[in-house]
Amino acid sequence: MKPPTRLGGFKILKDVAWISLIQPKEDYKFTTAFANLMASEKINLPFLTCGDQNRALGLNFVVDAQEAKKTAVLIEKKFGKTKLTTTKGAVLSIFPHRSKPEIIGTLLHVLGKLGNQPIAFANSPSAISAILSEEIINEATNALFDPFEFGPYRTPEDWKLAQKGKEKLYKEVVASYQEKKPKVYGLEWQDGQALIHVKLESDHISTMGTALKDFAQFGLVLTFFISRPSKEKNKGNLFFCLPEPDKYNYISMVQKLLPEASTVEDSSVASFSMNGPHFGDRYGIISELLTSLNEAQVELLGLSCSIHTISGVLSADQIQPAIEAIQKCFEVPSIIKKETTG
Amino acid sequence: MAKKYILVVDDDPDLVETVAMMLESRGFEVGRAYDGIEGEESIKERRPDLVILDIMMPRKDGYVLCAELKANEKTADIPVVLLTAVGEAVPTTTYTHADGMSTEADEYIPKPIDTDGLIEVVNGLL
Repeated sequence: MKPPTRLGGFKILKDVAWISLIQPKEDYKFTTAFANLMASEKINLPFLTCGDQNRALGLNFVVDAQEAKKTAVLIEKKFGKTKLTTTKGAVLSIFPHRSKPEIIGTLLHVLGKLGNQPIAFANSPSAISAILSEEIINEATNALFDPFEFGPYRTPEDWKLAQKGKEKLYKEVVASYQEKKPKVYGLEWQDGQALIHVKLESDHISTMGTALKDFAQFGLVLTFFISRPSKEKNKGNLFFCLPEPDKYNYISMVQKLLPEASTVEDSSVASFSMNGPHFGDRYGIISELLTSLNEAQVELLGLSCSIHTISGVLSADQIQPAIEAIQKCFEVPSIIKKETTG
Repeated sequence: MAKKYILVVDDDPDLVETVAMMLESRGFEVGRAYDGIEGEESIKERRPDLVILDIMMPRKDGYVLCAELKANEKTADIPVVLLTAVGEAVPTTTYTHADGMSTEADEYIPKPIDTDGLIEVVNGLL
């Protein structure tokens, strides 16, 4: 039996409402308008992913559970009829994944085994995050301790004891930020990638986990990984970036394990990620970024906001205008171009 | 020659990863912990050559952990670098105890962290 993989830790953000939303893409500025609406109402979005599929934008996001009803009403009032579902849930994040597909794949494997549950994914440079419905949180937490070890926490009970009192401190820290121009700790980007969209049956998440674990044999580094809601019942949509030259090798590995899944690719894309102080705990950060990108006429193909990081995927020829747009609204001390490996 | 081992302790896993990558790219071995108690446990498990500590953390903040390290003869000589995002509010390496005594960290770095500046501080203390 394979020994558990040692990770640093995991955390669970509880008492949130998970909202899935699909909006026709005719209004390609929808995500920006949505983020602006949330910011104007001081509603924080600790988790947000967005990807497009067949000319429709799909968003997964969470808000504080107490703000769920208000959020749904605001969306309907502002945008009219959208396909929107709300579920009481929690955000589970494990770290560090070090961009290793086997760690992301193992998490998919664990969660996929919990039954045909709707799950949403996002990633940051350190963490892979999943929104889960409230009913399976305990089961998911316990199941993590089978394939993973977490620093000083040997059992789920050890970990639960260590979580008390954290939320209060975060609120005090967040209240201390007053910058006119938010600072970021760093901005990284890389090109030479392809964005792969896999549409699969929801109950095949575990098999997709196996595919990702297989990717690891070839040294792949996964820089972007999200899911988005589907228009069809019991379907899931995963988006991830691969090195452009090797994309067909990896796509064929997915097709071999999941012959009924469909794959679509966007070639010649670039990805970026930026993290900043408590970005996941402060409302309005994503709104500033998307507004600035819109003004620069940069269109994102995928977006992931979780932990304290915002990551985006866009056509490679738009990366420079995107960096300039980010510098307009954020204080950016360093910009690093990463080499694509895989 | 064995790599120097640096422990990074911060409750923001993305920042821990950013700092770890900066250090690993310059040849250091890096340990990771995500709050003060985890940091303390990690130091007991393996003695680091240097500790980088966030100040505002749950369970045990960086000032308190620093004070405990400096008060313990087994760990007093481990260099400690404090980090904070709220630079204007906490521009000091000094932790003042309830009895008026104080403990000094070895260096203080405000976030966002500049790679060259971090490496300069780390090399200066090792």
